[in-house]
Amino acid sequence: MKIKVLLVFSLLCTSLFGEIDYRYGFSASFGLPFYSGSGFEDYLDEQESSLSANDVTNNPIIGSSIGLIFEVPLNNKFTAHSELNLVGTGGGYVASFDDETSSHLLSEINLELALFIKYYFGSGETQVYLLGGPQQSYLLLSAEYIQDGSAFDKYDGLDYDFFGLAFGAGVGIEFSLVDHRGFIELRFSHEFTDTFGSSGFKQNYGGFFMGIYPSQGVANE
Amino acid sequence: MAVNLSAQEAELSTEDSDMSAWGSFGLGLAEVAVSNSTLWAFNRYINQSDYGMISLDSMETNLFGSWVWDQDEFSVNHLGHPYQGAIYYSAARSAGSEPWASLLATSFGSLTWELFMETETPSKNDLIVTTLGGASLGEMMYRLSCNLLYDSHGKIEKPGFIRIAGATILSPTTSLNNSLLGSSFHEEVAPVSGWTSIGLGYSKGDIGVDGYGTYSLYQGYSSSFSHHLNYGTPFTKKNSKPYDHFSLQAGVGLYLEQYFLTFYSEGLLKGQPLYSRWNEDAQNSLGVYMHYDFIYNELINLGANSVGFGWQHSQPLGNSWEIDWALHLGMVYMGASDILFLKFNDIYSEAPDYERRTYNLSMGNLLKVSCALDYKEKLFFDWQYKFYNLIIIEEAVPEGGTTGSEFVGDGLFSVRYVIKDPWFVGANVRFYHKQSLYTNDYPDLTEWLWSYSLQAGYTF
Repeated sequence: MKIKVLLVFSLLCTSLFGEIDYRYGFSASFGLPFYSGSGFEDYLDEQESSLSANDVTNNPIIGSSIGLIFEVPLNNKFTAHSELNLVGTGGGYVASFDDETSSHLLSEINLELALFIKYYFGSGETQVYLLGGPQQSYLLLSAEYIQDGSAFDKYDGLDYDFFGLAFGAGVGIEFSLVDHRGFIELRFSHEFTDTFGSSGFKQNYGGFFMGIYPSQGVANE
Repeated sequence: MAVNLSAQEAELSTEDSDMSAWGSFGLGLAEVAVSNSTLWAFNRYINQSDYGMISLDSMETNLFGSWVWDQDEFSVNHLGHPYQGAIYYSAARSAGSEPWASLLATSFGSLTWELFMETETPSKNDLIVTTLGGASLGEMMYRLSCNLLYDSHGKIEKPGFIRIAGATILSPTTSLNNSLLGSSFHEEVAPVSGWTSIGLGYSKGDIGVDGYGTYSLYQGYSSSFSHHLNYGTPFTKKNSKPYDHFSLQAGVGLYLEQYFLTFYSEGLLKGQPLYSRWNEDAQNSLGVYMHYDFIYNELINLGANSVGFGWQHSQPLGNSWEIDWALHLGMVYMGASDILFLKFNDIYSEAPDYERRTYNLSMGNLLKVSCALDYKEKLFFDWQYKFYNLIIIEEAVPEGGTTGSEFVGDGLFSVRYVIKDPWFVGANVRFYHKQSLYTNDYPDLTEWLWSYSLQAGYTF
């Protein structure tokens, strides 16, 4: 039965994608994830008190992503742009003491599905574009890493929610790369839902993205 | 024979790429950034190392803080970092950049790694070794991978799986760019020659501690693999780019339970063939060479990044014999060699729970001499000696270490007889030695390692 369902699904996909004009691509990003929101501000105050620190400050960590892109042109200016990304995100804070600091890194690895609308300015070999839309994230792994002087500790499994919803928007340039199309992009996303429970933690990711559409021409020819 | 390629001059051919120089440089920089990100992602997500847990705070601290002499282990700093730099360099080169632009991209990769991609304090020696050792190793890896992928006119040879796999292992980014850029970018290649052999023999190692006597450490049967390669020839005016000619020797030895890795290379940066009106059969070449060398085993460790002058000579002796010799004199701008007392303390006693180097960082000089005689390309006699005089950098002495001087040498005498072209059998005697003259309370050391082996291999 399962085989039949898969077969029918495959045939449907084949017939659907056989009809429409689409292209696929690969992307990678390097960014600054951080937490914000009133809940996180309160959390930092609590940490300052509980750690007896002189100061506790928000410390964006370094994140990254790799992903697949699937894009369908809607007309000669707009495309529907979807992405499936594996994203290393999270946030952190630094506690300052008299003569040393303690760095706390809250790490999440999420699977993220983004559905964007993309608008191209002009036409030709090099095109500037804007994109934006909702992003769903699904938590795969989480951990906290603490660097306290020379001591390094890891605590697995933060009590984070499995599902998150965010809005992402960016601006980029698409260009020809020999037989392929390449792009570089600046993008920012902000989470609507709380990272866990009703904590008031909001996940943010500001990143530099780049990628390639292999040998398939421009999106809005 | 060491350097006799004059009959097969390099046929150089570079066709215009579809990309501009800036486009190539930009693509190279992007690949350097991807390379850094990939290595960081491994440290951060797979290995989950403390030094991979970077943040905005760690970047700011490194950017505005002072630089140090790194305390990482020898293999990381003198094998790993040059390889990391070689990936940067070959990424830029295979994206179409010229050697000097690729060196710039390598320094960008190394600098950004030190400042931003680790929580560790940025270190001076890492920047030097990654950039210059990486450029040296990277150009060789790039050239050899091109040699597998392209013919002598720079055309794609439609290489088979073995060639693609070999090129990818040598230089992953060259294969990547070959796939990405296709036929739009061609690189010159030059012929290679050399020999590869395996050997079985007997080895013996001694340590003499001044005032205490001599101790035998290793004694027993050994096996080895050696690879000697010459790329291009120094005896041509066609050499226009750095490393249009280079030589390298790589070796892996197993002595009892000890491994022994060696790597020596000399790359021609700029050279001039010289002709003699009194000896028209002789070929001479004088040039500036870059060297990246290391010895890595439990007894003797050496890392040396150097630049200097080299003189190569080739001449027939009558109708049957030919002689090749080479002389290199250079400055070691970043050397490293182990402090045996700290090293053995960490192995056999108790290592500290914090990072502390077991080797010195140094500067100094090198001397490389070699002589090769061949009889009708049937019988070969090779003699080589490499010598490093290293002065320990005082401000880089690790905790518990010492200042002073170190002298490291590697000598080889071998005989090869071609039984059926290209196969040969032979024998060799090899010795490594190191003298350490320390200025503090440590006694001076003398280390020797002898190896006698029978060889079998083939010439290419």
